[in-house]
Amino acid sequence: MKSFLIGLAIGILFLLLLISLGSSFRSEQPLSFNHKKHNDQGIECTTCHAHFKEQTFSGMPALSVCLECHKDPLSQHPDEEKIRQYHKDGKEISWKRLYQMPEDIFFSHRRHVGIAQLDCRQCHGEIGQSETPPVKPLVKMTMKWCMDCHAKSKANNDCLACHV
Amino acid sequence: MMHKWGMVIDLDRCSGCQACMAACHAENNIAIVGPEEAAKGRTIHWIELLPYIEGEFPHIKARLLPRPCMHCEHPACIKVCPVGATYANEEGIVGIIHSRCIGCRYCTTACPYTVRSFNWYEPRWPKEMKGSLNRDVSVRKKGVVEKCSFCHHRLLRAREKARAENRELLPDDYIPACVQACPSQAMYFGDLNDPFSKVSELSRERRAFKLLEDLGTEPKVIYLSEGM
Repeated sequence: MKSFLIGLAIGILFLLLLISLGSSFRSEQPLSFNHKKHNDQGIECTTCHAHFKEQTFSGMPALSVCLECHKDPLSQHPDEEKIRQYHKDGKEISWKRLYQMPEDIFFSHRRHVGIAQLDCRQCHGEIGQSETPPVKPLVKMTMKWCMDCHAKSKANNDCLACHV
Repeated sequence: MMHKWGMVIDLDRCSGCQACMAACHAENNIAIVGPEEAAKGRTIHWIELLPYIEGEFPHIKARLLPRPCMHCEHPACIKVCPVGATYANEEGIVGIIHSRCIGCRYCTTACPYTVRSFNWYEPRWPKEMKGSLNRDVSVRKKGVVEKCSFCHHRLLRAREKARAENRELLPDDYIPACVQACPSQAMYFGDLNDPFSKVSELSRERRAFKLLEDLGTEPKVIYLSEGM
């Protein structure tokens, strides 16, 4: 009986550990952004991620963009209040980037989306349909994956095109 | 036809002001090492002014020779690299993939023009310069070799611009930082495969020569000799 109880206790502890680990990986974004809900309202990717046409990056939305609609309560969601709290504190929302290129890789949104007219989903997958912020990139970007696409679309596949 | 990028340096026009070196440092995020490290010969320059003495004593002349990477047709550096971190692309530019470099420095030894530098230290800049790094060029880590790339990122930028404007690449679209900065217009850059380009014309001049030509490396940097 005693050994059973000890076993049970260890089991429960182990389970708790797993749950806490799991939840810490669940969402790192400062607020639970729902892409699907925004997408369903007819808001385009470019409304919030605005810079892809001219810059290497596309950018995370500034607080002012959120406030355009969320200045006054729109929904019952508890995270909506956080936006106005950020505004009161005079801070920007500290969005976390999911996709991080290694330092020696040059990637340009302008080249891929602005000029070559790729769809966002090519690299970002169905993020527009996600209801909670994903914790890792929806498309796993490997060098082979990049090069396969470059070969298929007859883009520059020279090493120096990306390794600067 | 594929481009073959080349450079012409007119030594008659070069005043040795080192503006090319300064421009190169700023353009390519080249780390600056301190005086102690420099005394050990551990500075990094993608283009350097080599001093040399011409003639025999007492009739000597001190000269300065700007020396970027020669981007040889038959580069010795590529043959010795054990990991394939350096290669020549279709347009003849000799590039380095820094993430692949293991820092063995065979290439720095093999290069007859000694254009390659090793990163002995983690790159550091004065804090005032933190915001002025060029985002088109990576910052090299400690333990890898680096050298002139003919400002290849500028070629990519130029191609991007030409494509956005729906036109062909024009000769003046792509010019490395050193050529752009030269105040006495001693440096020219262009396509050696185009027989009518400025660099092609100059390369056929009587004054034209290449460094260590007998090695058969066939450099794509051509010099125009002084005082002829």
